Amino acid sequence: MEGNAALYMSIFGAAVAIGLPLAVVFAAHAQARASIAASEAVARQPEAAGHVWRFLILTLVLIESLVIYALVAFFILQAKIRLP
Amino acid sequence: MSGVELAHGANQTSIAPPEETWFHFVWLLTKDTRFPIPDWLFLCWLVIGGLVVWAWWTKRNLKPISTSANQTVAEWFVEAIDGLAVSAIGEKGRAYTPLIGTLFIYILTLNLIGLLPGFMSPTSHPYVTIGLAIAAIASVHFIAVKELGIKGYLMHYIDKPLLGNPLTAWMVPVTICIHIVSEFAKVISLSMRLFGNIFGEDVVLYQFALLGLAAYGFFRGLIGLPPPFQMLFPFQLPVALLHLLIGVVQAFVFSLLTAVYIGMFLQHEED
Repeated sequence: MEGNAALYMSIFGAAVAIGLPLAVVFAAHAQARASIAASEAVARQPEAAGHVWRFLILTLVLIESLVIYALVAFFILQAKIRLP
Repeated sequence: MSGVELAHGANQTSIAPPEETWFHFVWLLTKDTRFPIPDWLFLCWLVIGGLVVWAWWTKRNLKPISTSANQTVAEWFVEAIDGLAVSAIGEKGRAYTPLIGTLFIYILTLNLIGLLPGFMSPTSHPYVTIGLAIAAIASVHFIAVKELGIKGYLMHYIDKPLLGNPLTAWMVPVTICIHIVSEFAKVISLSMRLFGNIFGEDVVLYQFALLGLAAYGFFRGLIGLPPPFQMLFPFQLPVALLHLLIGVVQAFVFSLLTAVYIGMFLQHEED
């Protein structure tokens, strides 16, 4: 592999490696905020715990699905990494 | 495996656990035929057969007042799924309790069967979860067509408030494209969520078990043990407890999302 292609491939590999953790960091932040809000709501109104819990699960799942799109992109791009 | 001097698993080529179960003979028998049967497919059929036999046996022995633990568990399960369907879809959701409950109990069994020795979780194979997601979304669309009629079903793709104003009516083709893309995104996110969670958990279990074997290999000079007793450091046990939790949560999330998707179609009926 010549110089430019090797440079391109190394930058490409670094980008693939950094993308998924970046998505995970921000999604973890978002999920933490959702969990904080849910636990505060349950602490204020314990009788609404069932409803809050179902909404919390739904929200966490929808945030998680964004990470899953990043995971799919990771799987697709990771197959394109060619070692010299 | 070659290289006795290496620690256990140190010469592995993949981080994923091997997909060999006690039913690997089925693959060895059928791999040269026109319809080869991998281990995960055979395990799926085994789980289906077991669940059908359990449901048939439970229904045969139903009594007006529950006297057996089996019937009590079955009644509790049906009531829980019924409450889930009614809360996500509405009063009409009671008709779809069998669909949601079947998805839940099937995926739960597929997730947890990997914890038994000699088995694997078929849901850690992407083909299984993609098939499940396609089946779930296809039944959602079938139910929508059945409940709303062809015209009402197609009207779901058009946002009615946009049509009223001539300034926003040009956006209707754009929203139609977005709706169609989001239907495919539903399939991808449903299948990849289940696959990613179960596969990742399997990888962690396998690597922690290998770590325990490597720790035994460190002390091998001091204490020599025959192979069945070499698991002196079962580091994977806490992760197995986490696998129990994740298996239940992912099965619940899959069935809850199917119910929510049905509810998203049916809520148009009130407009």
